[in-house]
Amino acid sequence: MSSRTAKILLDQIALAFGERIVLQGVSLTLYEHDLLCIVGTSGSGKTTLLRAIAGLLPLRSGRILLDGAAITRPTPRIAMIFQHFGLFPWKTVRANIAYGLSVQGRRDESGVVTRLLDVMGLTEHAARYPYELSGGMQQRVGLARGLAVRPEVLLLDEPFSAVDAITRETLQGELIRLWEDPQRRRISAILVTHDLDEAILLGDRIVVLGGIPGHVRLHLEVPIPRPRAPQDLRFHPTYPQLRRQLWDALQDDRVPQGASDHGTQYAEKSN
Amino acid sequence: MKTAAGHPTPSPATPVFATRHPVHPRLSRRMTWGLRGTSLAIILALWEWYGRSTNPILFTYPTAIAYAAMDMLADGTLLSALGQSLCVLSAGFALGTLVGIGLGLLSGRSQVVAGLLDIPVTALYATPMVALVPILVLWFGFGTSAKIVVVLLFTVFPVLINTQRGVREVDPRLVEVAHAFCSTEYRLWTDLILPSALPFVMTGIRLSIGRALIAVIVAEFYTAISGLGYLIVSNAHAFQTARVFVPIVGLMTLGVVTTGLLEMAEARISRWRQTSP
Repeated sequence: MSSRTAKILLDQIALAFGERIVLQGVSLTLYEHDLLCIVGTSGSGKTTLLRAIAGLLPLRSGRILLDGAAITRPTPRIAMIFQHFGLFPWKTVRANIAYGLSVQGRRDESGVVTRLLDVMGLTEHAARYPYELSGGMQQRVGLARGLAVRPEVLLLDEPFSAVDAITRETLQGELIRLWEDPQRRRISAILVTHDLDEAILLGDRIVVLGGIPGHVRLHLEVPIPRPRAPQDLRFHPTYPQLRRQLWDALQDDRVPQGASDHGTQYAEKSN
Repeated sequence: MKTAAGHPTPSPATPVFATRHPVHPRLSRRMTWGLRGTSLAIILALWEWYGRSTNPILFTYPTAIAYAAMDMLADGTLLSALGQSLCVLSAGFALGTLVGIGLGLLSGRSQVVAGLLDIPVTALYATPMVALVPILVLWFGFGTSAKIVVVLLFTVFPVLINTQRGVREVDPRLVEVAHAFCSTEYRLWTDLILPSALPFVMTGIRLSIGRALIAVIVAEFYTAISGLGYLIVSNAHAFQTARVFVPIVGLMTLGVVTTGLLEMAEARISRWRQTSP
């Protein structure tokens, strides 16, 4: 593990909104071609953490390093995917995907936009406006817009929580395919979610955030080998144990007693 | 996959820009125009029928107005008066719109400018502008410049207030998206603030068209009398009622046509949020 190169390093960071400290003493490492999932209940500061890594929020203390250099403002080397998709309603699908490149003054010399339209199954929707697309399609556009700038780090903020359950599974499958595609071995990613199965399915490692102020509760590796398939996930022998560990770590936040009962029940059921 | 008991509930699906479904079923274009034509025909027919039975000094009717209009076109009085009025209207309206958009953008984006403009704008918008005309005459005289200032003052506020609102209504989440993609302030304006404020600006402009027409006539009545206002006053004094109605109908037509053109422009500009193309 220690032999791997760190892409992003969070060193004892603290974040605050005014006087209210949201995160305290968070240290994390994201390696090269590593997919780190951050899970936590609502209000655990996981989205705030992601915005800080994107350079959108100032730190109260600590450092965030990208290849050893501090991130203090947004950089073209990092792209973010938003829970609310964040598409420009007056731009067509194609213009939305090309937005990052264009706003960074870069030319689309190799036809990345056209290729991503194809990869995401959006070619025939290229001239449409976001309102004409389903939620799933809109998030495909959001994903394509993030990938189009060829980022070194992709930050995904609950990317699939605003779409319906079936679309979510499809999109998760597509993200796995993209991730396991040898052409994209350069990218590292952090995905924030409150969906434990999503974290187990997608993550190489999972970090649980919790407490007030938020801190790292649990940090574990997902031993399920790639390529992964969503439908086989729950039959992997380590799955119930893994899920229960995550569940218990999340429950510490809430009712200390009785919380683990839930976990036990669930573990029994899925066995 | 989501069967776990007590599993954290996914937040409800709230896409940012959901498809807008029409609340009322839309009439076809043909139907709309048919209804408009019918209402116009009924009004004209009733007016003609009733107008013919009244004293021509007190009231008139559409065909009499049409004949009067032809006379006035033939002797050139209508066109020269219309020219004068349109000059004042377009100059004042253009200035008012420009000033309104400029101040609206500034005060929408800057809290300082908004704070400075807040009370004066509200006070002036609430004041009946007619009350200011005598003072404007003191300051600007009776000439064309005074008339243009009157039109400007009538039109500037709806544009300003709507533009300001448009800039403020910019989705803060999209502002964050722009920042995350390293947008410059200039690109923030062109990609986000202007397109998102544009429909509001257009609404402001459309609202101020009616006020601009009022302003032209007020200005022509209260400063050096000229244009369509002059035609109305002079013909009324001569009891030429049909001739009084020619400029009035002209103003109505002007209002309907400009509003229609602006509505078309609005629909074109906000194509991205129409229910059906």
